[in-house]
Amino acid sequence: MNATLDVGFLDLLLALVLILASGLISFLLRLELEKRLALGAARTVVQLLLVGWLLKFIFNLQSPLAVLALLGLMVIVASRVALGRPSRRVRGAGWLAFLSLAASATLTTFSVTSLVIGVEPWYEPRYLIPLMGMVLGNSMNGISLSLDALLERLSERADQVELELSLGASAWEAARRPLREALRRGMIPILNTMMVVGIVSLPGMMTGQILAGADPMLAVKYQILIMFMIAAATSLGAMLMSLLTARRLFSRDHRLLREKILRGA
Amino acid sequence: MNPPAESSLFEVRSLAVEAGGRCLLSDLDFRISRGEGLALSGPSGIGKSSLLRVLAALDPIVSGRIELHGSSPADHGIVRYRRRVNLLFQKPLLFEMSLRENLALAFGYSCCERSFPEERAAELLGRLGLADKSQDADPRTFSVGEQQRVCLARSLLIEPEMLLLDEPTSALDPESAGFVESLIREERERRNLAFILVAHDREQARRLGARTLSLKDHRHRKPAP
Repeated sequence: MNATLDVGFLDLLLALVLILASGLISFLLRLELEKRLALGAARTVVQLLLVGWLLKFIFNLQSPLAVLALLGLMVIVASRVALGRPSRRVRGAGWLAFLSLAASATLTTFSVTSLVIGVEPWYEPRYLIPLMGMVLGNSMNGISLSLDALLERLSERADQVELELSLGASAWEAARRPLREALRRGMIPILNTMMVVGIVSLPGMMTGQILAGADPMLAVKYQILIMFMIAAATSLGAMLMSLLTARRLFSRDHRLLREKILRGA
Repeated sequence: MNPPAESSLFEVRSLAVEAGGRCLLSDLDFRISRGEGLALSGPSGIGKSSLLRVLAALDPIVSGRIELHGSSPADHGIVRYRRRVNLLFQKPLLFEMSLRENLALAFGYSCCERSFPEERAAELLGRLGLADKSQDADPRTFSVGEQQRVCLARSLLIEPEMLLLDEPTSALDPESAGFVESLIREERERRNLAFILVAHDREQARRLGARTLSLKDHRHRKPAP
């Protein structure tokens, strides 16, 4: 990858001029977007520089503990974002989201890095961190969507669930329909992406690799691997989250605990 | 006249009923024998529907005891108990499936050992005036009255010993209400079906030959400080 052209700070300043031009247009047309644009640009610079610095620091450390700590932090942040602004919530869902994300993302990421790519040493941050980040970002959306759908079904169609219970369904049997719906909802984005990948848009990672000078075929192979990882992690995460949540919402004697579904903040 | 204790099918002792953390009814005691009907009366909001939900094991027992053939719902296994003491909801609830699939729903659960009784289903539909309906039709396109008749057939197919009827005809046209009432009367005579009814008028209890239990005297009062 020696073909990579370096981007200097001067080049970044040139890109900043483009942003300034957009700000000027906004000012002239009184779109009142200048402030948000400036804030967005500033945050982009600060956040990414911080991440860059952190990554460099961790890459240099070469310590498995530091890598694991960072991965743990990423899972915590992802589980908080996953439960961002729900219309309904369940107490303790934060833990369930953390568990589901940690299990699904760790399992898929590590099976790819150690079994497929064969990364040496196993904690090599150059592979683990970006892969885990990509997996988490998607799995997080899957969890968020399926939890929303599950709670919506279990509260708005509670009567259907109770009808099934009254006809002799066990808690699992009565939860089957809402669970199916929830998983379907959680999987739709990744399924849609897989349908059109490469046709409508090139995935960000592949674009990045090609820009950075990688052989397009190698970039494609990596992208296929990534897509499969993401799909697996998303479905695993959504399944775990939905099953764990459903378990909380039914009692041992097969009653639906409607009162545990709370209105959103 | 109280039936002798050994013929008692269902018994409620010192039962209290709560809804939303508030105690509505307390010290409920009654007994129902096979083939008997009981109508619950009382002003709206007193807790009739909440009581039915507790009896149907959809809400927990806060205090007191419920017995079917002398054993608690938990002893029977809640899932099986709910089939023997089955709640017919006030609003017809049907799934987006064919009429036949809706009727067969209860035969797909793991607790059910029997296969779907085709003949009995056809017989019940006939007696409910639904013989002309195709079994492949989506019953949610039927009138509300017809939908509730389908729900009654679905409940009767699992052969409950007692039906809990929560204003079963309040939203129905007179024709449908008539079908529902006469089927309940017939099942009571032919199969000793017992029922507890929350009726929307006094006349209905009389037509169904149910004795009345007034819940007014069981309204929960806070103990004096």
